Amino acid sequence: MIKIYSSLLFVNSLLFGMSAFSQDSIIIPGNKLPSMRFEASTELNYGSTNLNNEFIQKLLFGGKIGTDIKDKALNKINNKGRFGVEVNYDIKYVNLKDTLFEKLPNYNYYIGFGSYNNISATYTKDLFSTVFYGNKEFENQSAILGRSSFISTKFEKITVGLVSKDNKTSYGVSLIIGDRINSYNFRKADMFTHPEGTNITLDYDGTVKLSDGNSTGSFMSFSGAGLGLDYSKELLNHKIEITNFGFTIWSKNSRYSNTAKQYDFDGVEIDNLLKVTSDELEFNAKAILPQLEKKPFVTLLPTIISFRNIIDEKKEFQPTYRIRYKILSNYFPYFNAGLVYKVNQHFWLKGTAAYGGYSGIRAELGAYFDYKYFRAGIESQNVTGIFMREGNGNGLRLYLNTTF
Amino acid sequence: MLKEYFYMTKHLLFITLTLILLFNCKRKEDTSWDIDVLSPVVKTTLTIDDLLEDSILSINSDNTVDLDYKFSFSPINEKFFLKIPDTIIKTVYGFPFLSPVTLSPGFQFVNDPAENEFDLGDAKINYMEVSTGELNYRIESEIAEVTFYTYTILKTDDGSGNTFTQTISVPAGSRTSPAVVSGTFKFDGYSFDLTGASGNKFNTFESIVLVNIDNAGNPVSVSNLDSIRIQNKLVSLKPAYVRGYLGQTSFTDGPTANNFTIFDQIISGTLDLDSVNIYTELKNYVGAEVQVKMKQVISTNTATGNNVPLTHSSIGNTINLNRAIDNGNSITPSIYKIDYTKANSNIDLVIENLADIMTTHVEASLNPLGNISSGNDFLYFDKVIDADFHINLPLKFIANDLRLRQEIELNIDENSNPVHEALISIYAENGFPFDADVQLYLLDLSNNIIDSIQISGFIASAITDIDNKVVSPINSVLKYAISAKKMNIINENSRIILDIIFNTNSTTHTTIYKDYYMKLKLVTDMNLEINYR
Repeated sequence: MIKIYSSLLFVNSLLFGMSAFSQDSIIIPGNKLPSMRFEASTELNYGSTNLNNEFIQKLLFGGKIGTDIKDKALNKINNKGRFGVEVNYDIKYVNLKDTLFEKLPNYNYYIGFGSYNNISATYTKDLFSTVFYGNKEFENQSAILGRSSFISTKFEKITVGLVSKDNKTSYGVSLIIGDRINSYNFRKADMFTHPEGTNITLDYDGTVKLSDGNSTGSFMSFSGAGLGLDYSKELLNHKIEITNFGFTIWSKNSRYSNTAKQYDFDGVEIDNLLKVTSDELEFNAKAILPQLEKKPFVTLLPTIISFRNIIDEKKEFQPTYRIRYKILSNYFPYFNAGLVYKVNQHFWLKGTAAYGGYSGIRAELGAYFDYKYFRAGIESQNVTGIFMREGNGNGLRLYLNTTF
Repeated sequence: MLKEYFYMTKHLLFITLTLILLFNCKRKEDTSWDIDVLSPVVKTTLTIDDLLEDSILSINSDNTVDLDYKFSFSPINEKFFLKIPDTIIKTVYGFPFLSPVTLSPGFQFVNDPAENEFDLGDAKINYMEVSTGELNYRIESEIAEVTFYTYTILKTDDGSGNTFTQTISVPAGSRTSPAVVSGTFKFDGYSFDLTGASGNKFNTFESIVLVNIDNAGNPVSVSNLDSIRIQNKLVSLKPAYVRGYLGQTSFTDGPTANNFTIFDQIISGTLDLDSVNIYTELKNYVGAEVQVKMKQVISTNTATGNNVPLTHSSIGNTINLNRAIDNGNSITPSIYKIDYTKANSNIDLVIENLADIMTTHVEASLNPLGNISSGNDFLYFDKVIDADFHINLPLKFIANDLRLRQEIELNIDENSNPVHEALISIYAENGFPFDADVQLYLLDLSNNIIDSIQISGFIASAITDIDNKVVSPINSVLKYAISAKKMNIINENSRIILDIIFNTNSTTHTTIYKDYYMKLKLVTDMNLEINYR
C-alpha cells in the first residue's frame, strides 16, 4: 500500500504538484442525467508543525532518526508541536431514479461505506525532548509534559442516506463499527528528575481511554459500536458539510482511567534481589502506572466540519477557499484560498495556499477531469512537502465518480 | 532484566511509537533513535529472610537467628527387602475315557483346588497386601463347545470382602485347532492370607479352577484324546505390607553422593562458626530388629575439591535399632539419636568445609537375631529406615572473604532496546555488621567468564557497639561503568555473574539479628537505542 501511494505521489507531483485534503474540495462539474452514480475516494495525509518529512518518514517507514533531524524538529517547536496522520476511504452508491420515501419525491437514496483511520498528537517541547532525547537533560529540573494529547482511532461506517435530486442537500445515518481507540490526554504531567537520578517525581493529571487490548484493531473488529450522522447543504454558492457527527460506545474489554496523582518513583520494588524474576519486575512496574478500570466509555466521533465556496464551471478563472475542522483529533483549524483555472471543457487546475490541519503554511495543487460519464480528481495538499527537504507533511487524495 | 529497567521510559515512548501501528505494511527497517535515560530502576530491602530460606530459619527470643537445617535421606529402603518372584502355575486337564463320552450342557468337568507357594527364601510370610500386581492367563481348549473357566484365589479380599475370582468364556476348539484365550487380571489392592488351606502354612495361597460346558450350548463328545491346558502366571507383585517373619538379610547402600544445598551459593572463603549443634536420628519403621553400620560420612566442597570425612564413634561401629510398633493406623518407629559436638567429633570442620555434597555409605542387616518375634514381623514398604541429619547453627560467625555467587539472566533478546553504554550506581544503606564487595563477570555463550566490570566502592559495614551489635546503618555508593564493548557482550549473552564477598567487621564471632537489613537502590544513567519494529 505504501509503495502504491509513494508511486502515485511521485508521478502526480511531476504532473500537477500534490497533496490532498478532502473530498469536498473536488470540483464536480456539470450534472448528467444518469440513473445511478458510484463514488469512491481515498486519502492519505500526514503532517506536522515541527517534524520534517525526513523525520516523519523514518518514524513511519523505518530508519535511524539521528541527532541532526531531532535537533531541527526540537528547534521548530514554539509552544506546542502537532503531528497527525489520516488514512480514509469512502465508497458510495447513489440511486438517481428511486426514492425511499414517497413523501419525499425530490430525494434519492444512497448507500455508503467508509473507513477512517487517524493518529494524532499535540505535545510540548519537553515531551518531545523526553521522548527523543531522554530525561537526562532534565536532571534537577522539571520537564513539562502535560497539556499533551495522543489519540489513535479507527472505525468504519455503513451509511444509508437521502440526497436531493439537485444534489444540494443530503442526510445520512451511519452505523459506526469501532475498531480501535487509544486516547491519552495529559492535562498535567510535570516530571522532575532528581540529582543523580535517584528519584523521579511526576505530578500527573490525565485521562486514558483504551479499547479492547486483545483486539488487533483491524478491519471491522467491532471493539465498539455507535451512531453517526452526515449532512450537507448548498446555499448562496457555498456548501457546508458535517461528516461523522455522533458517538461510539466502547464496551468490549475497554479500560479507562481519570487520575490526578503525585508519583514518586524511586525504583521498582522487588521482594528479593537474589530471586527476582522478570515477571515480578514487570508486574511491580505496571503497578506504578495509573490504574486502568475495566469499564465502558463513550467517545464522540472525530466530526469533520467543512465550509467552502462552490465553483462555477463556466468561468475560466475564479477564486476558491475552504475552512475545515476536525474535532477531538488534535487538529488545528484549516483554511485555504486560491484560484481555479479551467483549461478546457474537460480539465481544471487549482492552486491554493493553506494553513492548519497538522501542518503549517504550504501550497496545494489539484487537477480534475470530466469526460462523459467519468470524473476524476487528484489533489495534493502539500506541494512544498514534496519538493522541499524541510517540508513538513505530505498527502494525496484520489477521487473517482462514474454514472450510468 | 534490563528490558524491564526501561519500562517507565517506554511507557512515554509508547505514545509516539504507536503512531507506526497505523501502517500495516512491512517496513524496510526498524525505526530507531538514541536517548539518554537517568532513572532509578529497582530497589529492595535485604533481610536475613532473603539471604536464607525461611524454612530453615529459627528466631530466638533475643532476636538472634539460628539456622535449622534437616538433611534427610533413606539409606535403607524397600528395595532391600522382600521381593515376590513371578510365579507360574501350569495345569493340563484331560479325560479318562478311552471311548468318547458325551458331556451335557452345564456339566462341570474340572474342579481342581490347589495350594501354591511363593519362593521367599527364609522369610515366612502369612499375610500380604498387594500394592500392584497382575495375573496373566492363557487357556487352550480342544473341547468342541464353548466352555467357562473360573479361577478363584481363596482367602483373598479386595478391601470390600470380595474374594478374587474371575470367569472367562473359552470358544469351542478342536484337537487340530485348539481355541486359545489369554488376558490379564489386576491384583491391585487385594490382600492375601498366605497360610494355605490348613491355616498353618506360610508363603502359600490356595486357589481353585472350575471348568464347565456352556449351559446354553450343545452336548459335546470328549475322550482321552481331548484336553484343556491352563497357564496362570502371577507377575510383578509389589507388596504394600507384609506380616510374618521377614527373614535374615544384609545389604549395603553407597557410597552415595547426596546433594547438600545449604551452602550451595557459597563458592569460596571461610566461615568460622562459634558453635554447632548437630545430631542424627536413625528411625526404624520396620517391625524387626535392624543393625546399621555407618561406614563413612564425607563432606565434599566440589568448588575447592576439599573432602572432610566425619570422625565420630558412630562411624564404623554397629548400631542396633529396635523394632517399630504397629499401632494399626500408625507406626511408632524406634529412634536412635547420635549427637555430634566439637568435643566428640570434627563436625565443625565438616560444616565449615561448606560442602555441597554429603557422601554416605551404610551397611545394614535385618533380623540379626533370627525369628525372635515368632513370625510377628511386619513391614510397610513405603516407610522403612530414615536418617535425619539435623543441623542447628546459631548465626554467630566470622566470615572471611565469603563469596556468594548468583548467575543472573537479564532476559535480553531481539525485542529489547539495546543499551550502548551505562553508568550504574548502587545506593546502599547497610544495617549488617559486615562489609560487602560486589563483582560482576561477563559470560560468553558457553558460560565461560570472559570479562569483568570494574566497580568502584564497596558496601561498608554498619557501625557497631562494643559487643559488635549494630547501632546505626552506613550509606555507601557503588558505581560501575559499562563500556560499549562490554555492553555488547551483555547484549549478546544476556547473562552475568554476580559475586558478593562478605567480611565480618570483627575478629570475634559476629551475631546476626533478625532486624538487620540492607537497602539497595539501583540507578542507571545510560544511553540506549529505542528500536521499534
